[in-house]
Amino acid sequence: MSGRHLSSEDRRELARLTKILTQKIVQVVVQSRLGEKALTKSKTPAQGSDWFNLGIEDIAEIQQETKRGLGGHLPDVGKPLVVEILLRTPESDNLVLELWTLTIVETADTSPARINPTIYNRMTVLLKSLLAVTRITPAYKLSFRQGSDSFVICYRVYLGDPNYECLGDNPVTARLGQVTTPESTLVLNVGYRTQITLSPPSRPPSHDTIMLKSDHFKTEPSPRHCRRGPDRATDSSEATQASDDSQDAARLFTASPPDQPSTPRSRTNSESSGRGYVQQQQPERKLSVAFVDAKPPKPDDFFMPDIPFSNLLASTIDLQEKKCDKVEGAATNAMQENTQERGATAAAGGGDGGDNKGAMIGSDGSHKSNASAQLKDDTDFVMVELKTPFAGTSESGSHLGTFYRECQSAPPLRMFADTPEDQISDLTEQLLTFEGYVDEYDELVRSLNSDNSPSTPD
Amino acid sequence: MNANTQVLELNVEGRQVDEAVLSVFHTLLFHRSTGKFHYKNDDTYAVGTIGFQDVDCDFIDFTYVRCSSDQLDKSIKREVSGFCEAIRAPDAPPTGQVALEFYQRKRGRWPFPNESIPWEVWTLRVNVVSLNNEHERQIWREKVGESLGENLLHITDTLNKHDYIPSPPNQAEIDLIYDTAFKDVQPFLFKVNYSVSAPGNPSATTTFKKLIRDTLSL
Repeated sequence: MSGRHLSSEDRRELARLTKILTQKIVQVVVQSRLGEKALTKSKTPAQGSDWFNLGIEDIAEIQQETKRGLGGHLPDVGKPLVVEILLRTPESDNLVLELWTLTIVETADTSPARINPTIYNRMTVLLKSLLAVTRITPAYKLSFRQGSDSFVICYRVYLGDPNYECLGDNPVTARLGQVTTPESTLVLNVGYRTQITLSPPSRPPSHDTIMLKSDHFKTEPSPRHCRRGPDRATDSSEATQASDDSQDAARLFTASPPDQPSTPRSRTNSESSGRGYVQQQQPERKLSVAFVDAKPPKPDDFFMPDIPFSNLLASTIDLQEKKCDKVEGAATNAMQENTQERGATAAAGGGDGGDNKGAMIGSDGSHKSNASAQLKDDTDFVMVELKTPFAGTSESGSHLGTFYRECQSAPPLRMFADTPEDQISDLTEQLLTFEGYVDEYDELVRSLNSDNSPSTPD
Repeated sequence: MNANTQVLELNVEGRQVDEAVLSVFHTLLFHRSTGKFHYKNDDTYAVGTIGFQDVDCDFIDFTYVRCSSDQLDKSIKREVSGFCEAIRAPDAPPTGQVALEFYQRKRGRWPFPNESIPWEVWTLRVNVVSLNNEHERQIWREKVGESLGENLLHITDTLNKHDYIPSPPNQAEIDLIYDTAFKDVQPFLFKVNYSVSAPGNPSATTTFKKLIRDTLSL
């Protein structure tokens, strides 16, 4: 390394800062891939001080792994620090997602910059930049979808040349920033994959490509997580080879199987540790894979109808028409069943209503006013009639409600409208009259029998 | 002293303006803040720790890091809200710019007041786009996220070039460099300016320059 002459004390101090910076870089990168939201509190000097005045809580296991990866050396010219982030499937296939590198170049700062605080502050800014940039690469979002049944994210720390070829086609590389010290310049870079690789199942196993389970893709569309969907491509085998080399060194740091609760992740802060453990146990991690579009939503899903809720009215009318064809007995049975099933809801929704208008139970047409609740019989929607505060119970105050109910209800069939009530009451009277003539009818039947009897062979 | 001036351009939907501007300004403030200073004597001090937290945007596919300071968050939100309301007003022009300016004070000689000297200015040119349907919004949500990511890389690269940062002051002069009103963090003195203007509306300076150019060309 070149540069202006430094006293041995300054040189020692610079080496010390570089070492701490290296460790913090690994901590920041790896912690950002735990699938947790960062939240650390600001502290006054009286509450203790932290390196680079940043609330980065060291995780002991990452610290050990960093020491192991560095082997007692520091990054140097031609020997950059590399933090490799990999995706590992349950079949132990690996895919390199990111390469974070701290490269040392010989360009030195000739200005009389003091190690402390000038270089120290520059390193602080670099770490802040790292914190910010770790949130914008695709692997950050991916880390929240880890699960033991889908994939986990691993890491590897080493000194040496990074293999950017293992990032597949069209990787993105970017420079986060640099720190120029009196001895050299530290440049922080990131390279990340933009395309996931899927190997066709027909490939021979000897090719050793990444195999992905068919159910890795989430069934429901989530546009928030569907980035870079169109960028799908097939694999490059370099990724796999690099991953295989790294299998021994790669360390699982999150979402370990449930039978291994003692994941190698222990924060110095117990609160953080607890938070991580809870997230790890969440079962929703069945995941979609990096940069791959889940089932894309239909374009129609995003269009609103011209008239808000017009589809509700249309569906209701259809439903009502169908219901009219059903047998009344079946309707009554269904009503009883549904009343039992949703009794609790009814009590909660319309406790004060004797006619139970509060809850729209799914009866088959027996309650015309309630029928809209079952636009889809399998939905959980329960319509609750609004009880407007301070509104009177008289009909004058509920014109809107009446109108709405009228719209919901299908028009009554004409054959029912034309049926005069007196005809129904006549039927009852006719039946009674006929019962009164039972003796005459019996007599008639007997006489018929007696008339026929002489003609019988007996 | 020439201030380091940077201009970024954002094309966002009306509802995305707040989050887009805040994500950039919070990132800048995170870089341009320190822990609280605790002076032991006039020029020896201990520095506190800056906590940080992730913030997920609602209308943009983007996560950014900000200082763990609700006080600072409220302050910057208050500053930015004026711009957001102005640019979202029904009859507002669809473009505007909002700037985060870091400055230091210089004591004025009597009877003049203190002078504010900006040393770094970040200007966001915001163009508000209108989208027709939810499908376009969904695409835009991701596009704006990617655009913010690119801007963020430009920001970090610029901030690490060490053009000029005020030197740590002694105790008597700390208020000339830092905003000490916040109880948990200590950002450099900053202020937010904004203007909302119609596109293609040339300023008087531009018109005057054009006039001179035209005259000379004759």
